[in-house]
Amino acid sequence: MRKRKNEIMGLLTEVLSAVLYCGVFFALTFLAVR
Amino acid sequence: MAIPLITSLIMSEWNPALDFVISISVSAIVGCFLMTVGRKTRRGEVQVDWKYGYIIAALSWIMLMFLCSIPYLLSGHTRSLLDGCFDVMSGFTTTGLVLTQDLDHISTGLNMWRHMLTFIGGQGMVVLALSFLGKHIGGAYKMYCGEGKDVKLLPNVKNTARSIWKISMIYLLVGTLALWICGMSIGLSPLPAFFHGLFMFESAWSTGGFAPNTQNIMYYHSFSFEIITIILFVLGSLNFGLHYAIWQGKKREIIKNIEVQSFFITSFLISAFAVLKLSQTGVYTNAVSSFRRVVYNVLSAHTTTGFGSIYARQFANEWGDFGILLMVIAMLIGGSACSTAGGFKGLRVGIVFKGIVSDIKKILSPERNIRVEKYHHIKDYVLDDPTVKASALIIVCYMVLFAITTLLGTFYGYPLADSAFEAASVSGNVGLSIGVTAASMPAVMKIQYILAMYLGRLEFISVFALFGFVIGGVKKLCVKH
Repeated sequence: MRKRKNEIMGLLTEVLSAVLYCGVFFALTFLAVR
Repeated sequence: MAIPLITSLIMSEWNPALDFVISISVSAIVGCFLMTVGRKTRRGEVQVDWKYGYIIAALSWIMLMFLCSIPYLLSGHTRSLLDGCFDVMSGFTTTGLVLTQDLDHISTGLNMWRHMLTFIGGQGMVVLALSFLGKHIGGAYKMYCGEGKDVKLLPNVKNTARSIWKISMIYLLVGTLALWICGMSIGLSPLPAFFHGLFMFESAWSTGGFAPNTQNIMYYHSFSFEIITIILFVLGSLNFGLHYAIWQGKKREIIKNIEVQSFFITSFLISAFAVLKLSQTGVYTNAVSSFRRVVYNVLSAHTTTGFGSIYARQFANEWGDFGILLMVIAMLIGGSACSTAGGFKGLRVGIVFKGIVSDIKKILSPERNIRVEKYHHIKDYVLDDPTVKASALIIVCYMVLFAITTLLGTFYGYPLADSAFEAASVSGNVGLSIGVTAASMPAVMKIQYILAMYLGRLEFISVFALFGFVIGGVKKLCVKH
């Protein structure tokens, strides 16, 4: 059960980190172009 | 080949189905012959040492390249066996360059085959064999390393291989679902949207770059489609060891890991310079178009994916020498070690950079001081000279391969910038093209590109072991006679 919970949380952490990473890049692009 | 065969049957594509039946038959005959020849190794009577582990991995890729090109040849969409082999090697190595003709009209079965090749190639063919085939395979770990993967997630190599597949299969479900929904939201009907979602996921996760149409990611005209694919290829370019560690609950690994840090710094610097330059020259003047056309392509190059959101010749005509050089650097650096990505990898860049900093610190500090430098990659490692040397050697090998491939391009009359761009693309297993790769290019260049993709993917050592073995055999024969 704990293992399954870790896996789901890990998956969410990775996806959220990647979304955040894209967000940071978009913000930086916005600042650079502005 | 069973999956594309079933796909063809479901889609009522009878001719492609027959192509796959023929290909399965030929592969089965070759497989039975090899199993008969190697029955001693299969029973575990013969121990496979490091040399043979590497050679088996290298030879498996060549053998599979020929067998897997049969459906291409039978489909009539390739001009020759060489073009078929080029596309298969491009798929296996997750490069994504294409010589297949009339891509928009190939069957769903063949499309399934192309994308499966890139998906399986991303995880590694040896990894696939270790996961699902055979109970005991002698020298399994040595073959696994021979495929350019050296991270052991679990003590048992078979369980490591299975973990790699488990991670990929979970992402397959999540990613395909996201792209399927996105496909339907932009107007595709459910069945084509599903296939597009599946194919694009397989390409993105494997950092492959294949698409079921000639226009690649531009076909969808969708910002959300681009965002989802960026997320998928960034995740795909991460080390399987890192995925496993995070899934085990070590969440801080995503910040502490040297590869993630190296990837973030280099991708940030390259994107920033490219956006600044191209906005200054007036090519892309607003944030959305800069992100979609510049950052997308830089990240696609850096993760060695090869999805292009602009046409090939736009790189040459709009990006200028500075933009092309940035893309070449991004393509050569690549993603993470033991991932689906190519290039000389963020881990090695991080290690060599830390090695240089450590040497400078040593020179500047008093002689009595003994400094022990460490780097963090899943766990803490001491940064010793052999590690730095091994990393530097692989980087040098990549640079030599890049230089030779560029030289060959210029020899055949292509401009230096175009040759360098395409050479970085094949050496780093990227798949972005500036327009050099075409069915009409010289055969020697096709062979060199196949070799560059193969060397880049297997990270040289296995292929060098194979070359050494062949040269040694020829020498023995010469001495004998």
